Amino acid sequence: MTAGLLLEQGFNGLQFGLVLFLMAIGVSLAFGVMNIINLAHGSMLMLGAYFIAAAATRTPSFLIALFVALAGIAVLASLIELAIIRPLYARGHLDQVLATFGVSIALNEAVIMIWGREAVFIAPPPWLEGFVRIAPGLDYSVYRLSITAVAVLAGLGLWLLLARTRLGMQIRAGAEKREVIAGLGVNIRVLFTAVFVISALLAALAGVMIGPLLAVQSGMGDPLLILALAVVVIGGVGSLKGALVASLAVGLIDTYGRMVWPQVLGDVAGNIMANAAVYVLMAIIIAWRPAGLFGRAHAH
Amino acid sequence: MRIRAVLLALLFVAAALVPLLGEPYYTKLVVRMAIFALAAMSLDLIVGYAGLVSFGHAAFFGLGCYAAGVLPMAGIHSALVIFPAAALLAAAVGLLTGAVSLRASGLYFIFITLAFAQMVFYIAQGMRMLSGDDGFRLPAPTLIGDLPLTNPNVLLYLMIAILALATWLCHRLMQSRFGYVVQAARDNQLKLAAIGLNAYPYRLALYTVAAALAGIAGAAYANLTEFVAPATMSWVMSGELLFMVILGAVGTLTGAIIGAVVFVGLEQILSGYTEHWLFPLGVILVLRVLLLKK
Amino acid sequence: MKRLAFVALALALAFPVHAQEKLKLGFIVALSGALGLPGAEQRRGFEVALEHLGNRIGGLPVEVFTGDSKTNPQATVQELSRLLEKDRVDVLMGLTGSNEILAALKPVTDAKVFFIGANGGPAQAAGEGCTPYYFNASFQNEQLTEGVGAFMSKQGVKKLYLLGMDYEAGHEHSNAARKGYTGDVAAHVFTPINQVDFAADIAKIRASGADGVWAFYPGGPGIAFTRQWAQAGLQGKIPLFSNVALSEPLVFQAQGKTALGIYVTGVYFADIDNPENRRFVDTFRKKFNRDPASYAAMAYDATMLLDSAVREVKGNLKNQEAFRAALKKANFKAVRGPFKFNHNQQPIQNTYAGIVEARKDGSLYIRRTGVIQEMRPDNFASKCSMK
Repeated sequence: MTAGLLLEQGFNGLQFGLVLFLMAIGVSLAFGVMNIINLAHGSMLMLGAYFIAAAATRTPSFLIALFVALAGIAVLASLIELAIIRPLYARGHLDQVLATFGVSIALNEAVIMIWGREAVFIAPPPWLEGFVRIAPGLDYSVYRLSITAVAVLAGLGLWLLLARTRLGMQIRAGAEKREVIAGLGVNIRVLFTAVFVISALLAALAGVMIGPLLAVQSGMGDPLLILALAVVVIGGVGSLKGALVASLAVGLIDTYGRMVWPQVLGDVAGNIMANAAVYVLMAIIIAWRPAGLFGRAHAH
Repeated sequence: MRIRAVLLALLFVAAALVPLLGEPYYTKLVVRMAIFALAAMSLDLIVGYAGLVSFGHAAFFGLGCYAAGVLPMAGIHSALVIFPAAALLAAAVGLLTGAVSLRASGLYFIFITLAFAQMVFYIAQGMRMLSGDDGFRLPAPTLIGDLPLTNPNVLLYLMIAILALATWLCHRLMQSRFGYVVQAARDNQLKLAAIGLNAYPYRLALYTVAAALAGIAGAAYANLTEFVAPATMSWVMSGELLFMVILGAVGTLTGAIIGAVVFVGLEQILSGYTEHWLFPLGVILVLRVLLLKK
Repeated sequence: MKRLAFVALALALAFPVHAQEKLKLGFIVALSGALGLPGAEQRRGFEVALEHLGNRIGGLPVEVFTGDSKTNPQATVQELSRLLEKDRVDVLMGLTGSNEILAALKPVTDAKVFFIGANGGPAQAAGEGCTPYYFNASFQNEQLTEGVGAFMSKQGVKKLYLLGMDYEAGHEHSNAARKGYTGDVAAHVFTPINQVDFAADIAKIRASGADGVWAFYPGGPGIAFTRQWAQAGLQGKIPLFSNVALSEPLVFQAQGKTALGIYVTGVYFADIDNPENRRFVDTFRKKFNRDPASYAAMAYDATMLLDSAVREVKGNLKNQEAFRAALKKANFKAVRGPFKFNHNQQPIQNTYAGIVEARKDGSLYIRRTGVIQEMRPDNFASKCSMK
């Protein structure tokens, strides 16, 4: 266990945590503002990766492809919100869980029907290839650093949106006291659609960024969604700060854990723990603080 | 209520007559329906009656499956030991995890039940002596006397009996004071507190009973497929069980049974038509939720 | 003379050759689930075989009943029930996952229907779980990898780092990889099944000073590993060995240039030079615009094997002893080269080594470099009591 390895893993953990953060804020916002549980969030990540892969074959510019892909996701998310999510606001959690679960099953299969079962190839843009020396003897992938940068920018952008714009104020008000914003004469419908689309875009952005690192295939977003759910629970629903803290914590725990557990517990137990650690943490947090670290007890 | 009981009785009679067709395929299909009917009904206790969405019920189903698979390795073959053991194992895990999960509510409850199920899943996946993720063949059938439960006819009659008994038991339970407290808690927890009742112990007891029933279904499933694998505990399986509950009518025991029958049937029919059977299944789920209110 | 004729007539009437009108074939592979991609490839190989045979197997018109094992052994059992008990197929072929095969052994034995495996072969099925009703026309799992140990030593690897996915096959293959390897082992690591980020492991490999890496990652994780390996700058710096699970025509598209230089072992490569394979690859390329993966070739061979056996018994599958003997004979020319069955009905065949290279037009292919195991039976035959 060298210092270099620890540092490299620290960066990896941070990067993973920030990707989780992009997923988690989407979930947290959706629940905080609209009281909706969305299990199709993982599909948004997956579609983000697929859309940019499709767009990249038609245009040489990565940025144009990115724009097109995100625009596509925005459109799709709006349609889903209008057709499926809107009727669910008034329904209970069971209906929301099941309907969005159904959407994710259908989308996972739709992707196979359109693009086939083969994993799709996305190459990172050439100007993000290569390595940079972040410490003596440690070359870190530029692309991985860029993921961190993009996630940080997205987080900042979101914070600016929430703290400095009218829309953001409405969103925050909605998250705090839903009844109030209706009284303020805000068009709830438009607000909710906006929040849903923003969440989807964040997830799609995450998909676009990790696509080149992984295999782009059906269901690729689901494991991350489950982790993001754990993050939201740990951090507390509706809390941006909670989502950030929990994401980074989970990212680092997961990444370092995969190194440490097998060493401490042996191969078999170590691998089990490497997989289960986040869930154990979630259980502990719930037992100690049922509303999460920074969450407010929600009356519903 | 009467009509439902009659319908159910008719369903059971119809099921009992299937072996007379002499088509093992249909017998096994009906057994499958009965097994998932029991599992779905046990989940409906939590979801429909207690109003809590559990996304981790498959863990108990899978634990029952593993019990039926592991006990023969220790030389135990009798159903009189295996089924209670499966129920007990599932109930024990249900009690422990339920004790923590039920401290949360709403969104948190959903996620924490999912988390616990994932933990159980990863442990099963990690058990190399049981071939981990691959799973293993059922070493020996569970026996009732001399009759092996791997014989679909035997298993069918056993499942009909178990399902009938379980339905009756659950019905009595939900009609009792215990059941009223649980349902009242679903509807308004504050009012309950006002009369000095804490829902927690009632819910925990119900959660444990539901887990035990799912465990029994799991043990039967191991005999039906003669194979035991972690996939029975996956979150996908938990989702499928919820799907079955809602396909019927949530909060009625017969609804869960119907839902399971429809789901198993749909799955068979759809996957016969297309390899992309998951797509129409997903669409059906969405439509069912959106178009048909409780 | 009359007596002879009478006896001949009596014999002819006593043993009527009851040939079938058509052959009902159950083709069951993973069409959905994690192994849906290899399953689809198996189906392609099967389609090419049927085309070459004019939609007849052993001269009989064939009616295909397709089943989806859904990458789930319990779903497999359910599908087998449908094929065996409802559709009443005469013979079964396919399956994709080793645990699916395990789950299938009892149903096919109980139903007394022959099953020809077209992908993979778990140890149990070759050893103590063997049944006369299961013929493995693909490979016993270890056959894909065994021999690479000696190969790596020959390539000059002195300090080897082994990585595998932590499930049955991962252990089987990585243990097989070590056999015959004479150098030092830096580490033998198993990563959790769900892991798709290998940054930590790659960093550890770099830190270990290993001069050779053997890794087993199928499917999505395999693609992820290869891409991350290249991104970490190790492609070309440290030789990477694996078997065809990590890199072959099915995943070349997704791996792109990152697959170049990987040494792979397997029982089939598209560039095997014999008339049957040339014909197979030719048709496959015309139909699907790329080289076939081994899954397709195994399914092709399985179909040809079945064809030869049905032909041998002249369509009379009712005489199971004769049919079994005909299958065992394996009197067909396999696209993978020499092929015969061992007494446990598992293959005796070559294992080849190859390296992923690019053709002039940029497309990737596996260039076969040699045979690393010659006509080797599997290691579990002694545990099987069949004759």
